[in-house]
Amino acid sequence: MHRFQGRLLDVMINGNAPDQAPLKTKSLAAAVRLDEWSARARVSGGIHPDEPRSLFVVSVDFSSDPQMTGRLGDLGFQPGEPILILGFAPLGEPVFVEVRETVLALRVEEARHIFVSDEWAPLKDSR
Amino acid sequence: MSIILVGSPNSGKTTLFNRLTGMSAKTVNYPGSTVDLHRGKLIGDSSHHGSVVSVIDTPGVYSLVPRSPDEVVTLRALTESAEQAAKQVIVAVLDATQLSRQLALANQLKRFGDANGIPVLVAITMLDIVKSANESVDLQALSKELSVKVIGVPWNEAAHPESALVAAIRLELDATESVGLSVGESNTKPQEKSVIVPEFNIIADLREAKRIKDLVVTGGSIGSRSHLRMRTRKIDRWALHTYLGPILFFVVMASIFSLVFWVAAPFMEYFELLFKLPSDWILAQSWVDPDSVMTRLLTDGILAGLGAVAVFVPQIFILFLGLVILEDSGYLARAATIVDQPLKKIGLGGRSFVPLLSGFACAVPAMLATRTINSRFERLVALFVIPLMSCSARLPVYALLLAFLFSGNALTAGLVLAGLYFFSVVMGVIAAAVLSMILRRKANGKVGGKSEDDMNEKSFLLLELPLYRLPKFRMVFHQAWLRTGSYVKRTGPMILLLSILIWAGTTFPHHQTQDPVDRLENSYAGQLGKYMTPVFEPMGGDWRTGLGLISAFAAREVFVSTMAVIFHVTDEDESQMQEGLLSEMRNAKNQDGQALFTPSSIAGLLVFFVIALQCLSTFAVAIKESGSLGFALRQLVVLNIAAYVLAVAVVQGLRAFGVS
Repeated sequence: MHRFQGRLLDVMINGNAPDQAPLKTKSLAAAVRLDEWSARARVSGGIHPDEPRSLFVVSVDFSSDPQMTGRLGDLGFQPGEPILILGFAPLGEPVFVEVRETVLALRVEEARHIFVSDEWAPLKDSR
Repeated sequence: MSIILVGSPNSGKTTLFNRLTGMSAKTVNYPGSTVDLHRGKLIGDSSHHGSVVSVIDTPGVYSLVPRSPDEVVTLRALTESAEQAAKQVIVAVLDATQLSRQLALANQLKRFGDANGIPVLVAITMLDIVKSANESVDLQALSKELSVKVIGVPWNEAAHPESALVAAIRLELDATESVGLSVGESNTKPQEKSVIVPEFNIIADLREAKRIKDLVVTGGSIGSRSHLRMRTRKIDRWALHTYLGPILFFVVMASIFSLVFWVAAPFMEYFELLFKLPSDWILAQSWVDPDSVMTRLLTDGILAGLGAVAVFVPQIFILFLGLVILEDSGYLARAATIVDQPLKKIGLGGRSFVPLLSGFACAVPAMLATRTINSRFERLVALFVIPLMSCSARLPVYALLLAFLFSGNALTAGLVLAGLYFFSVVMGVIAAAVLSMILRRKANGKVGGKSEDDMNEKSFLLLELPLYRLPKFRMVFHQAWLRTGSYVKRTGPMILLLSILIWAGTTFPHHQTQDPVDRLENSYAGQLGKYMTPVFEPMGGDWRTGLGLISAFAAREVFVSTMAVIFHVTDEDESQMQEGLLSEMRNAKNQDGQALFTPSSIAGLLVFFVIALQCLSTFAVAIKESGSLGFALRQLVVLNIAAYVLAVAVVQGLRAFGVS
C-alpha cells in the first residue's frame, strides 16, 4: 500500500501489471492470434449465428498498449477464459466475442493481442 | 455527506441515480453516456442529521484501474471525497446478467472502501431479466460472500423515498456517523486524509467473481439463460446481417431524419409563437412607444433571441428521442459497429458515430458526446467535423434559399435539400480524412517515424453490445427531455447575448432614425457590411448579404430575420412574410442595377452555409472540449475560409457557364 498520488500515477501509466503465472499448457503451441483466427474463419464460410464457435484464451499480450490490453483484461480476457465467437460485422470487422456474459465488438487492432486455441488443458492448475 | 454510485457501463447505474434523486441525468444502453459527474440530492428527506446528503453518479468503469479519460473521473471522484474525509457510502451497482464480470469490480470497490474506512453497499439491477430466464440470484448468499449488504433493485420501481436501498443507505450513514464521532471528535474540521488505493489483482478478482457467481445464481433449466441471449442473437442475425444489416441501418437513420423534419415542423411554429405573441402584444399596447430603444431591445433583441433558441427545441427533442430509443433498445451500439470500418478509414471510428449523428441536430451536444472517445486523436477529428453536419439551425436558411430557387416546385426543392445534406456529409468525410492525415503526419514527425498502425492502436472500439430490450416509454421521454433541457441551458445564454449584441449593432448609432432600412444601412453592422463589400462581391453579394452573414454568427437562422429587416418585410403572417421576402429579394438590385439574388449567388450562399462555422456557441464548446484555443481558432478560420472559397468558386463557376 502506497500513498495515493504515487499509486494513482503508477496505475495510470503502467496499467495493472498482472502477476501472470508462467504458462505451461500443451495448447500453447496451437495458440493463434484472434484476428488471424477470425480472418481464417471468415474465409472458410464465416460463422453461422446458430453455431457460435467456442474458444479459449491462451494468453494476452499485456506488454503492448497497456491501456487497451488492460481494458481487455478487465473485461475478462485472461488465460484460460472460455469465449464464444458469435460472428462478424457486415463489413467483416469488428468481430463479436462473448466473454463473461458480455458481448463485445473487437477490431483487428484489439483482437491481435489475444491468443486463442480450440482447447485449454493446463498442465499445472494455475489456482 | 455523499453517496457515490459506481458501476460498469450499462449496469443501470444512471436509472438508479434518477431513482435516488427523483430527477436528472439519463440512462442508456450505450457505453459511456455519463461523461460528467452528476450530482443530486437524495430523494425524500435529503438531510441526514442536519447535513445534506448528495448522490453522485460517476462514469461507467470496468475496473478501478482507469483506461480512459472518463474512467479517471470516476477514480478521482472516489479518492477526492475520501480525501475530504466527508462521510460517504459507496454503492456498487451490478447488472445481474453479468455478475461473473461485474463482481470483480465489486471486489475492488470493497477493498478500496475497507482501506479507507468507507462503507460499501451493493445494488443488483436487472433482476427481472434474470427472472425471465427462470433463474434467481441468492442475494443473501451474495451478501455473505462479499461481506457487504446487498440490495436487489427492481427495474421498474418508481422513485420512492422509502425504498429498501434508501433505507440501507441511511443505515450505513448512521453507522459511519458513530464511527466518525469516536475517532475524530477532537477536531471539528474534517482533516485531510491520505487516500489509500490498494493493489488490484484483476485476475484474482475475476476468478473470485466467477466463483461467487456460480454459487449465487441458481435455478433455471440448462440453457434458459441462453434462451435470453438467443433472442438477442436472433435479432442480431438480421440486424448485423452482411446485406440486410446495412439496409436496416439506412432505413433506421432515414426514418429518424424524416421524423425530425416532418413531425417537428408544426411544433416549431408553435414554439416561435411562444415569443412572438408577447412581442406583438407589447407592440400593440397604446402606452408603448414602438420605436423607443427600450421597446425594440425587448422585442427585437431579447424576445427575438429567446425565440431563436426555442424554435429548435422540437427538432432537437425529436432527434434526442430517436437517439434515446435506439440507445435503450440496444441498437445504437450495433449501428456503431456497422459504421466502424468506414469511419476508421477517415480517422474516426464506431465511437464517433453517435456524436456525428447528434451533429445533425446541434453541434453543441454533439461535441459534448465526443467525451466517450478514448483516443485523443480520434476525438479531435470528430470535434473538427461535427460542425459540418447540417444542424437544424441551417434548415430555415436552406428553406428560404431553396424557395427562392425552386418556388412552387416542392419536389425539386426537397431533392436539393437532401443533396445538401449529402454534400455536408461528403465535406465531413473529406475534412476528417485530411485532418487525420495531417495529425498522423505530425505525430509521426514527433515520435520519429512511428508507423500508421501505432497511431491506430491508440483508438479503441471495444464496444459492448447489450441485450436487446424494449425501451420504457416514460423513461425515454424523460431522458430526451432532460437532454433537450441541457441543450437549451448551454446554448441559450450565448444565443441570447449575441442576439442582443447584433440587435445593438444593427440599431446604433442612428437609433433615432424612423426608417428601419435607413437605420440598418447606416448602423455599425451596416457599415461593417459595406466596408466588407469587396469580400462579398465575388460571392455574388453586396453589403446586405454580408450583413446577413455577419448576423448569422448569433445563430444561423438569424440570417432569415435579418433579410426580412433589410428588405423591410413586416408581414404578420409567417407564410406571407416569406412570400413578401422572396419577392423583395427578387427585386433587389445591386449598385450596378443588376439583380442581387440570382441562381448562382443563391447557390453560393447555400454552399457557404453548408460549410461555414457560423455559430459562436459551437466555437465556445470547441475550445472547452478540445482543451485548446488554438484548435478551436484554427477550426473556425479553416471552415469559414473553406466555405468562402468554395462559395466563390461555385458562383464564378456557374457564371462562367452562363448561369446568371
